[in-house]
Amino acid sequence: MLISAAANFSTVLPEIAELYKKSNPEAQITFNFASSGILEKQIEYGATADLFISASAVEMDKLQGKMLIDPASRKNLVKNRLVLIVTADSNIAGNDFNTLLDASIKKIAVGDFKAVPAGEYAEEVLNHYNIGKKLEDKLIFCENVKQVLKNVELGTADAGFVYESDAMTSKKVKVLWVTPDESHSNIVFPAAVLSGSSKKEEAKKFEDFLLTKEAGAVFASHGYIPESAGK
Amino acid sequence: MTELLYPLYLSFKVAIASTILIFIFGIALSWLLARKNFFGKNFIDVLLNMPLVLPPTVVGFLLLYLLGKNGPVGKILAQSMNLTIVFTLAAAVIASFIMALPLMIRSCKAAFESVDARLENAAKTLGASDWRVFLEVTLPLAWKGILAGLVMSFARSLGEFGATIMVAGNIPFKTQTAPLAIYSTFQGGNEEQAKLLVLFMTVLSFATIWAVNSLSKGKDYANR
Repeated sequence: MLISAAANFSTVLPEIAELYKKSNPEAQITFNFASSGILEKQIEYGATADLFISASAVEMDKLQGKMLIDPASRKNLVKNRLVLIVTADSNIAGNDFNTLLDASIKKIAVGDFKAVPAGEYAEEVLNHYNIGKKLEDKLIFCENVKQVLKNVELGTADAGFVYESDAMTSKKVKVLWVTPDESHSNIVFPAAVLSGSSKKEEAKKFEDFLLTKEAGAVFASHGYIPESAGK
Repeated sequence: MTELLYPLYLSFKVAIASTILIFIFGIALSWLLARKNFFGKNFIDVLLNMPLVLPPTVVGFLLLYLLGKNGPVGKILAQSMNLTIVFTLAAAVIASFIMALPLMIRSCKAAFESVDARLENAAKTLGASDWRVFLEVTLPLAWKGILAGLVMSFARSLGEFGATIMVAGNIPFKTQTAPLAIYSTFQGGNEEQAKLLVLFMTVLSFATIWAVNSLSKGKDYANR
């Protein structure tokens, strides 16, 4: 079965698949990793996949609108938190949104507001605290979250908005501030079985496995918050 | 280790297949554009240059539309031969072929145009057939440009990403070529693996092109 999943999962999902194969040795799982936008277009144009895991609700909504997924199978797999990071050896103090206005922060890396989910959430946070206009000149727009991380690591940006799971992967950055849940929409990573799939039973079974505590532990070790943890 | 080597293996497989196709079609099309006049010639010339100008993602979109299950070509292939191209290595070869062909044509066309037509005509007056003129006069005189085109196409095919990920997918051990593997490992948070892939890729590409350059030295037919 083919699972089209957002690229940020390209390390954690194969790990979970290995776990799954221990109790389901006959299972044949192949992955297709790309940005959610590309995956969504592939599915629209008839590329056959069985399960779709997106980095935001936007692409899933689009497919649902075109009746390309089984709505009953749509489930949120994991959550994440949006954090403000600075370079690890930075002297910048402060631990809330006001820090962004500080003169010592000259460049703030964010995902492209229009194309990158992490960027969209960052935009919501800036608007929530009404500082979007004031920060306009400081913003550097990146094509994906990993680029944001890189910019802060290398110091080409003084600060940046990334997911907690990204911040965890790097020793060269530190988290200054965790954005409160109410400052942005829910950061969810939805999964759904595709209506064009010929292996719906298999896909559903693996999706269910992704929601178990076992899989949740692997997600958590990569910085994601399993849905089951919130209950 | 296979996680590192397999993407490189797929990249070379795709690049070699794509370059073979480019060798055949590139030389044929370049020669036609250099030596013949026909209806729509300018239009085709410009069309063949488009993949150079368009972002690879756009070319990828176009290929996905054409070759997908519901697209004009994909539908026919699926219905008549039960053949799917999207998400297979064949799609990766097609993507590389389309993206690299313009480079070959530009180089070969210039090479053919620089061959003195009088030499070809002289051969014809001595009784050589068109085919013999091509093989024994035109090709040897144009071969440096042809080789340059091949090297550029091969290199371009090796590095192809945007169109490939769109139409072949990023499927490890099936269509995940080295550029896609580098992207995946980096996006998945595994920077160390990504760096290793970059290193391997660089060394192999460097060695390949060095080898080709070395082979091409000292065989200058045009200036004997």
